[in-house]
Amino acid sequence: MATTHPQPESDGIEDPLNDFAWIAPLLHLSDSALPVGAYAHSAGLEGVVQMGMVRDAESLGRFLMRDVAHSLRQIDLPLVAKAHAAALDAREDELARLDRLSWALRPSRQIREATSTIGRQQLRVYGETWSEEKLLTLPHFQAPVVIGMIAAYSDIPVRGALLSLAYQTYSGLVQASLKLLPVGPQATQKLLHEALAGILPHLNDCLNRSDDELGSFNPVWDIAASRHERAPARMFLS
Amino acid sequence: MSLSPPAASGSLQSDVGIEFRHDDDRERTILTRRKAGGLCHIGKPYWNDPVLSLQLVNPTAGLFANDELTLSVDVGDHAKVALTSPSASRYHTMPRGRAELNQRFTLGNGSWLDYWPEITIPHRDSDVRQNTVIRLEADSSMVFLDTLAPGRIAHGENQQFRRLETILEIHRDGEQLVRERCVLEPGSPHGNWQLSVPGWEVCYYAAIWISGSETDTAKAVANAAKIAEAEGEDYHGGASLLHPRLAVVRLVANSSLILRRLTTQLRKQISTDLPLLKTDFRKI
Amino acid sequence: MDSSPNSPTSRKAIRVGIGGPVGSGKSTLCLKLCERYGTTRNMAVITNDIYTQEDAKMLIRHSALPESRILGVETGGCPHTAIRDDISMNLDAVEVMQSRFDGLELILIESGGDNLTAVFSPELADVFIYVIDVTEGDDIPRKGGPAIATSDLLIVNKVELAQYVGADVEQMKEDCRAKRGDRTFLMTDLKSGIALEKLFAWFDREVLFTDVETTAPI
Repeated sequence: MATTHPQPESDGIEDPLNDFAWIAPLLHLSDSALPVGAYAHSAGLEGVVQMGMVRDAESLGRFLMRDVAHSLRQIDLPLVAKAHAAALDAREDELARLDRLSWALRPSRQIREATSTIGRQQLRVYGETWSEEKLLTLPHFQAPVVIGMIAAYSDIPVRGALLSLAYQTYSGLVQASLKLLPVGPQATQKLLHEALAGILPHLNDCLNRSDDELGSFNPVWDIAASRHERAPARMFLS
Repeated sequence: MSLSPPAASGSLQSDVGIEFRHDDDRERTILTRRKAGGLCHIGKPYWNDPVLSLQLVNPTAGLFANDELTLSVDVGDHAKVALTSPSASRYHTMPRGRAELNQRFTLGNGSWLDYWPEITIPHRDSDVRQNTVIRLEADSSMVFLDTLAPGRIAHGENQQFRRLETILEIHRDGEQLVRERCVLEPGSPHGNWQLSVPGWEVCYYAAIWISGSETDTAKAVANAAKIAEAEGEDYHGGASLLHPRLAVVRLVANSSLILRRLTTQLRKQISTDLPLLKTDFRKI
Repeated sequence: MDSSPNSPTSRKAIRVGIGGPVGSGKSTLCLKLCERYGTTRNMAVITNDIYTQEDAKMLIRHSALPESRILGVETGGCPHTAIRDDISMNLDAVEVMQSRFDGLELILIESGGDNLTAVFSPELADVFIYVIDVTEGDDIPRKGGPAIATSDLLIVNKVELAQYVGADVEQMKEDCRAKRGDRTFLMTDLKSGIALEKLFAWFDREVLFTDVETTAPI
């Protein structure tokens, strides 16, 4: 799979630090301005706020550092790693299997749909701007699988792909929190920084999770996300 | 029945298989294979046409260290079955070792399974891995209850178990629709926060998995949501249509009585949309 | 809906973006257009509600179109983003409607309520109608902004209420002319029907090209 990101001009010096071409697609993929509809989703945060489980900066921090981190470590990041490896080896059947598995691992309809909607848009943007070839069609276009694929096709190292997904998740949540909670941008940026720092030590574990280890259980979050399907008033799609 | 010789510790390994078929001549569901004993016995079947109801009885009232129970339930094409248990499933105190429960449910075309066991209670120091796989084919339907207590609360045991790992997978026509994995380790850094609600001392959990036709499933989940999602200080609930033919209703409650009241209420409500859910287990 | 991101879209429906501040009459405009064209045109409506699905429900309640032809989209509290900066949610809704109704001719996309800087992305809407009303202050046309100045049609609504709020309608007309040049604007009262026929005539000519359709050689 070819991508059309230009390579930096060589200055003739053999220095691994010059090999930074992959940073351009990583920044592009991770940009919260990427038109993939992320602003319309709260990944269940609106539900837990409506249930009163998250009320302020402190409980938001706990939600990000505990609940969201758990979900990232047990589902999303391992799936990105697996998809990255499968895409590098052009194992299309494996990518489709991971996509189905990612869908099955989502605990509520809206979370399933949100993860697919964002993934499908990411692949669309990639296909319309970076890629020269016809892209693989997936059963559900789950975002972790799509990000793993795009990263592999763009020579982004696997840990970069994991961090991109973690950043997108946390960044989307803190943006949503500004509209849902009495918290300000300074406080949420601090939380974003802490959350990303908190996930870093777990990246290596996420690279080698077996399928048997995948899955999460978080009844309160799952219930909140489910109730959101019928919420009479809501800002977000999920 | 294949019952392995007891290990030195006295633990049991049981491989239990039950098969149901629809008898076209009698137009009834019959029990055609019964490989039981050890950790799982089968109670006398009870007719509630067209559903055959029976109890799965654990003579040791639960699992001990190094016990291994494999339970395979095969509901053949058009067979209609309701299964329950007479009392709570207990994971007994086991300071060392681990018990395993592997459950496989296979539902053939046009079949029905009503699985409504009593609550699971992990005791102090227990360590159990529970793996459940449900495979639905074609026009099969089911209602599947899964309930969990945080321990023997009356004995002051609130999440005193060592480790509880439960995995649930649901497949329909070969497609995986659900994978859920719960790992609770109250004494470890992983913690037990998943089974907790701010302001509650204890947290009980239930999930009701509903799979019928697209119309029945959608109606059932919408009606169940009215009960599960009603405002209550002692419980929270939510219902989601995960797939056109699979829904889940999840509940957390701060007492076993409230959880039971809600699940009973929900059972009654769901039976209006899935009329085969009519077995009254108290009569068994 | 899971469809390939590379799938070619079939013959495109004309997409009409309807923007304007909250309460200016966007939903009423949608309702009037549905009542006028709903039986003769293969059409659908996408509403971008900020917090509830009230706009979609209002159209359903009034039987503007069959319920399946009305789709509400939540915009995460970002109504401008949804029509201008990141239109993916609305494009998804367009795809849903196009796959749901073969040969769809017309889609109205109602925004969630905007300020004067909001415009529809040209990648989302082929035609942009902006609705303001006299009760918001008669200086709004004078303030200008991209929507006031560049929308394909500007509607100044609720002219019948002008006398009650002290709005100078003539001054508003002058300001509209000054800001819009040759672009059309209409002083309407959509509920009581003032200038409705002018609106439909404009819609026939500029959106549906009925004059071209009727004279085009077969």
